[in-house]
Amino acid sequence: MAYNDQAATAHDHDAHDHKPHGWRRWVYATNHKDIGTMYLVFAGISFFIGGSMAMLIRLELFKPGMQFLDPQFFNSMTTMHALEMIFGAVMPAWTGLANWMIPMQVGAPDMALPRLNNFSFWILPFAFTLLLATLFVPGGAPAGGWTMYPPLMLQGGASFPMTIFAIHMMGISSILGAINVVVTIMNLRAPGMTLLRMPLFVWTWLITAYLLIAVMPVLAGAVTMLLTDHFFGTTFFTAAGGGDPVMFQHIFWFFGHPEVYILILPAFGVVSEIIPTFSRKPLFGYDAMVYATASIAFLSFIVWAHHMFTVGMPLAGQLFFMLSTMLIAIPTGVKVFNWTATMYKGSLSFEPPMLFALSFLFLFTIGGLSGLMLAIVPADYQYQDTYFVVAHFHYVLVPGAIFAIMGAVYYWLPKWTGNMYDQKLAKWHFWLSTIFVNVLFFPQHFLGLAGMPRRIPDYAVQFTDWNQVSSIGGFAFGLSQFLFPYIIWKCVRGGVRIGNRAWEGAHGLEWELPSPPPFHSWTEPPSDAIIQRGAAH
Amino acid sequence: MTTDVPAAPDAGKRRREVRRSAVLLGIIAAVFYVGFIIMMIWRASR
Repeated sequence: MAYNDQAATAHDHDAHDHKPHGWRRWVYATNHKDIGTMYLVFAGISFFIGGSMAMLIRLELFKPGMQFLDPQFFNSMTTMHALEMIFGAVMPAWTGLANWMIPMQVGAPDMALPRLNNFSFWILPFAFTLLLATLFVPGGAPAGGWTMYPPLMLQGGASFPMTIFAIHMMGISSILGAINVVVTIMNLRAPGMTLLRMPLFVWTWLITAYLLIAVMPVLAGAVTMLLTDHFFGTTFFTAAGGGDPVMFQHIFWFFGHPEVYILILPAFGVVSEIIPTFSRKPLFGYDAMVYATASIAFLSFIVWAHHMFTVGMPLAGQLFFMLSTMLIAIPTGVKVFNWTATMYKGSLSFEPPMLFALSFLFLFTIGGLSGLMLAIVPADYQYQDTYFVVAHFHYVLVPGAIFAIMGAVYYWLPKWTGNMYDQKLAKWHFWLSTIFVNVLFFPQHFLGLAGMPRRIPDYAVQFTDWNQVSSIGGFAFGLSQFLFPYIIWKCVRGGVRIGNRAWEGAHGLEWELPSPPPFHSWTEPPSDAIIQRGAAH
Repeated sequence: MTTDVPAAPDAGKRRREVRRSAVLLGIIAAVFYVGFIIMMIWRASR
């Protein structure tokens, strides 16, 4: 039996919820599940908006020469695609999952600061409306890349201050969300839920939240300096006034590299939940996983300049950043080893969440290994600003972060809805995604090694074949993603009812609650026996 | 095997702890956020 389809437990708890109805339920939402749902829906919409921009990019790159897009608009698409996907899709998706799962996993009734939670979410639609509105202002949307390097970024038109303001709003939303996560985990854990009994998803989110609080202000400072350079006559990044454009790169990447881990650490947590469930074994090396996560977070602060080896850095700086970057392979290797060891001699089954977790394991490792190649200074001189870099970070973020989000949704969706989804369709979604994500991104390694630069709308004819393969993969990957909202919608509407524990190997407090869980999760703290049963490590 | 489990803190105490943690983290984030911007503007104005 793939999942527990025993008679669903009582659903009459809804009768006592006194939850608001209609639009008030969502606009005034203070319930962690409602806010989590809004975050996830928002992330899904952003995913398709950002994805449609990616489709335009791949359409233009299907053939050499200029086909459909104006070069300025092409550059806007690469910039907006990145901003949409990073700040609009992946980060809100993780915050949505955190909202849904953290209170249930630590034995709390809700998030610690519910009204702040509402505020954090409702900032986002305004921020992204502002960002997307730049597509319609004179001069078009920002086109200087998501990294916003001066002096190019300073040459932006009306979109420039709008982008800066949108980024400030996203940053404030992320900081408030992170404060909420930390306060919830530190204060609302059930008695007996010690730190080293917490599920890995909670641990990885705790560390991610600290990273967010530490680095989002740095981004805010960097973009504010851009703003004052543009409008108030300062010259932070203008060489003519004694400033230094490279300084922006240092400040940006001091935010930007931890940001990469903000996107990927919760994925490590999700995979650490899924693999033990479908291996029917406790997670191998729980403590080591916690320490490895903390080590990765620490190291993420001392590697930023590996993004800018080619700016002209002293040899000692190059060596330091090269070696510190390589050090990250150690805690990451610990994680990959522990996931593999968890599966060793396990009673494996391959339901959709496990398939996505396994795909994550293989494909994220490919992205990690190409990252190690990029960390080598002399090699990086060759790879810098080529499609090899594009292939690398897309392997980390698409079959890495996004597959983990999809795996998490397929893992917890039965808990959220009380219904099992169409697993056959979900497996179709998995196989189409996995095959075409490789068709899309793997050839980009070859293109990069052959010298094709990134962020260009046209290219030399010798790059045509692999670009066509990549574009076909992109279109097929994009189309296959429409299965995902359809499967979710179908599941929300109905399906085979499931019991508390949707998956027979699942452990954790969330599986002790009814499916779907009551409006307020743990109004009474769970007993120590329940906590011990949940802590399967 | 069960261990000795501390009793759940009363609601008032928990609310105070939540408020204290939130205010502390909020101050840290705000000081960092605004401080970084003010420091840069101050340095530029010298």
